[in-house]
Amino acid sequence: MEKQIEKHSQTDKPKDDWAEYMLRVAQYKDADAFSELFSHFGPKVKAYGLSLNSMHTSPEMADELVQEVMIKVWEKARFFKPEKANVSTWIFAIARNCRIDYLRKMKRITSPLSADDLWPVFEEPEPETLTELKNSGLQIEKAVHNLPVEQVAILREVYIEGKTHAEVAEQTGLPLGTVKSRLRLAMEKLRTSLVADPGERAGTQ
Amino acid sequence: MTQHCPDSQWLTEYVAGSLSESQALCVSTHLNFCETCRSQAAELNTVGALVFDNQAPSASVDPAMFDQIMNRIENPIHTEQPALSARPGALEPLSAVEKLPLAIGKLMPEGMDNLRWKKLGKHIRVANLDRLDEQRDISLHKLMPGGTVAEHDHHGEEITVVLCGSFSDQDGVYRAGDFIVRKPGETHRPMVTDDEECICLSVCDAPVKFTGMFTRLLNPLVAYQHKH
Repeated sequence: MEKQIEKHSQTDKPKDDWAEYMLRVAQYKDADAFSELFSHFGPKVKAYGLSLNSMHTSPEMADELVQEVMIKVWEKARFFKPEKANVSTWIFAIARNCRIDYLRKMKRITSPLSADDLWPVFEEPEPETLTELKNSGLQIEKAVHNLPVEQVAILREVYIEGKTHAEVAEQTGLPLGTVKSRLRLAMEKLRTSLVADPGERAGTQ
Repeated sequence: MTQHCPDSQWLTEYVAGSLSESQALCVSTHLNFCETCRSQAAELNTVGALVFDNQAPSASVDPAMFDQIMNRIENPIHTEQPALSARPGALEPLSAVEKLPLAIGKLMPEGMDNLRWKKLGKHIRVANLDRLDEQRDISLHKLMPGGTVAEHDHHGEEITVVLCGSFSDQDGVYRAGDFIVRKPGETHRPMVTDDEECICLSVCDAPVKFTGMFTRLLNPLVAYQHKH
């Protein structure tokens, strides 16, 4: 695959492979690069939409979310700064905001503010700690897969299904403190496993 | 240097998008002031993205959707309302607050002076802002130098973010950027500590059983008025 080839043929390019595609969209309005982004991130956005813990969740809503998110990716591509964020972090934040706006529309809440006003994503700098390390895809997958099942489950409920801590506690029957500590442990674990095993990063920095 | 910060639960729920809009307003206001929380939130965002990236590839997307998307990009329908923006100078009274988030400015497009400030005793003014969700009231409180608020308790959860100036109560001193959550039933007696006025953003639970002017009774600073 094209992406694979690029990955191995260039050594000192941005740490995030998808960043190349984003830059091509931003600079040249490159529909092919955009199509690659769509094929890769579209299904993730759709799964994210389908996972929402809400009565408004539906396949139609998830498809609409994919469209909204991808249109935003296209329109806001120039705000993407590879030195500040990686593409999936950026798209995750866009998907979150689009999902919030969609939900608000469904609930017919009129508001002078959009999610982007309250969750600004287009200039957020990231700290060094995880950003630097998170970009070799394999490492990350490994880090997440190495987490205990119950920690992955709780990360999913919080970040993907959009449940509050109280909702997680209520639905799982776990005390709120346990919910919090599992999240904290998951975070610690991700941090240490990424720091301890930087892998191919050494070659590219 | 801010000292009073939202805990990890607040930050996580903010990043995950499960806070209500008005709660999110408070957290994002705090983030404008607090670098530590900003980087913590960014890190949580990275964690969210990791989970997002590692979702099981169960959902398939119809490849034909790509053409639909391109079509929508090429033929945009302008349904969006003109973007609300703060009038130039709208935030002047708060010019001391460099870090005021744009969102608050958008909630008072006519400027802070043109809000309907209500006098609550000699030293306190309150102005309500448009609600962002059904359950909570959003307001600005202005405490004049030397002002003291009578001891009061809270009927619902109240979040306060100091925008400028400072105030104190029995638990400490709160300065610009500080994020304070009061649970129902907690009592305190705020006092302005500086010679300058103190302006706070405040978000209160507005239980449905109270409506109209009774809602205002729930606001702790407003409650003061009715005790005297």
